[in-house]
Amino acid sequence: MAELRGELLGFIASPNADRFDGLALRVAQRQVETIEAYGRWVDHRGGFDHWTEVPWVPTEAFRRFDLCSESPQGTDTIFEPSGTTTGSPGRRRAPDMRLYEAAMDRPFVDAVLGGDASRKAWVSLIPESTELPTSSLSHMVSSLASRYADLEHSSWHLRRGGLDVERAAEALRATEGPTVVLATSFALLNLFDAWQGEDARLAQGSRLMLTGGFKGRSRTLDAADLERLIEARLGLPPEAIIGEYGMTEWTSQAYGHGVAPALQAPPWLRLRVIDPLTLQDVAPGQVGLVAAFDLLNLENVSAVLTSDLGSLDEQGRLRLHGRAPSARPRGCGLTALDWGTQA
Amino acid sequence: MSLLDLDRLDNEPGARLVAESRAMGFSEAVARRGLEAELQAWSAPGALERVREELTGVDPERYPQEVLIIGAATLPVSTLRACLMARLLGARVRLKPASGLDGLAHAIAATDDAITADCFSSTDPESLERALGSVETIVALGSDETLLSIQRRVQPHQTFVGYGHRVSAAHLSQPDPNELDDLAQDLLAWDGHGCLSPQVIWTDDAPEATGRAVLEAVARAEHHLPFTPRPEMAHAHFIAEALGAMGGKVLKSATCTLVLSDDPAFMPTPGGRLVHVLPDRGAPWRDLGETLSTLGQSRRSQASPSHETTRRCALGQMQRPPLDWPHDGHPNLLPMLRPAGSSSR
Repeated sequence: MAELRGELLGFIASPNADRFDGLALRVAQRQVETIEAYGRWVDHRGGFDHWTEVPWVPTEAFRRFDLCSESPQGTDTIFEPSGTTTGSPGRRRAPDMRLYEAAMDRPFVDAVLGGDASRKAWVSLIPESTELPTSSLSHMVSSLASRYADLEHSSWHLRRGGLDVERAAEALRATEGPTVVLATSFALLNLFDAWQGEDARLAQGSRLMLTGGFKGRSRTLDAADLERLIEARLGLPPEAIIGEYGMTEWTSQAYGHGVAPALQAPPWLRLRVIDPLTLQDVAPGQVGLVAAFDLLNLENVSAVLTSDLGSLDEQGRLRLHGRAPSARPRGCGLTALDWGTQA
Repeated sequence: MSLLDLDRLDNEPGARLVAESRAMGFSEAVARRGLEAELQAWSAPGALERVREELTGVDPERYPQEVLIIGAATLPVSTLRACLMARLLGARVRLKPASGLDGLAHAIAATDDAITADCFSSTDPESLERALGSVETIVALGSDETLLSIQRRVQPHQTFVGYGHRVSAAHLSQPDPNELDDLAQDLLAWDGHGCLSPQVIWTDDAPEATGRAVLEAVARAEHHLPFTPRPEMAHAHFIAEALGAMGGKVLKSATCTLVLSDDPAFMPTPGGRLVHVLPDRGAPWRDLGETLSTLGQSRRSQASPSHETTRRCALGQMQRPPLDWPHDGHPNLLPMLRPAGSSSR
């Protein structure tokens, strides 16, 4: 275990695509051997010889099972998603955060900070981890802030009690130099809906990291409208917006430019789009279910099938197309059939 | 009421109903079997009279002149029955189908001049308001969320009837082979969709032994009732199968998936011939209360639902409710009447 973790840390430090297949197979084999429920699923599906054949685990399984190879300890980090609007929350128990911490920096610095790792003022509409300790997003943002934010000139505006609209707007208007704004789409839209007074004009070089989508919320906005609103309210052009895509069940994150980004995965995360019927990869451009093999999910499960719809382009970048319908109780109707045919 | 003449499905307009049911993804055999069962319910001796008994002593002035049926992606037979019940009151029917099911609405409308298909987009609030505003009685079938959103728009002078979220299950106690064959018919009817289809089989035997016996019966029946998995439900099916295998065991026939578990608590399924087989420890069906629409039981089953509205029936009859079955515990005709004292005639 320690040896494998060491190799993965080495891979993060010096990614080598040629080593991915071998590492991925060993990681998956270890997960099958050490996570009982996962082992049963793999037995049922018939085993694998290559990481691309590893049976996917739907994110819903994290709600039902403790998919962790290690016995529970009081020091474990527990992540639960906060954004889903239906069903019981997922849960990931992470006994060791070293891979998580090691992997988050470079993709963030490259994508969000444009390679400039100097400390800047941050305005966050994502709660601090002290406010929401079970949020993997809060954990990531807080951890990154400790290394890249000018903490004296940074502020956090979303708490359990809600979004402090007035202070957030004030903070955004008061910024002077290049600033990093971090928000979920939903929180940002809430801010804009309640925004009063002058618009903010963020300095050149400012960036907005946007994540989370709307996940079935009642208030949504299409990408072009949101970009226009961001430009009007914050003075940020679309090229200053960076989309982040991650989830509680993953260790890694993908990034891309714009509100509807073409997401680029880091070398240790392989994004795939699969046909829900055949579970085979679909051709570039075709929409299917987003699946990922996260090499760094060492103590959990690496082959994760999400409920997000997406498509890959020829360069392997992912575009998201909303959420796949989920199982839900039946009325006097057709269950799955009525997913696409609401009255 | 010309729909009652549909005792044959080979000619128009019955053939069109079969065709539209097939267009929804059901095989010809499944569509025919389901539609025939419904038409048999309507033509059963005394069936109409038993339903009409509800109206004994009711002032005919309270009969609605026009009823809007909103079928939010229901089984063809559910929509059909709702339309016919309104027609029993002599009402004209406007049928608003779910988006994408216009063909089914037109097929039903083709059977009776007093039924009109009213097809508009579900995201068109003006059309919905217009449709709702033009009738005295609104009958809606669908998810609880859909019913609630419609009910919010109903005016105080209008009558609203909603048929929402219900589930069904079977209980086996020492079933004989014929009963297992009957249960297989329940599992395969309408491919396991609809609120009358068993989502769970509770058993007083070991789930695996029961599951294997059920699967043998299914295997005998399924080649007569073909099934093609649909992409739109594949994800939910995959999730259910994965969770089932991770928590217990999964048995599969050519078209049917049985998820076995030692936990007796009810588990919903996405349909598509995926059913849970669970131990009956602690009478778990009682936890469902009035949500349990139908409990199919083998002859030796002593299971007793907790709510009086739950229909108890023999295996093989789960998806064949009699015409006077009180749908969701309600009479069939009385809920559609205008409030006493109101009249538009």
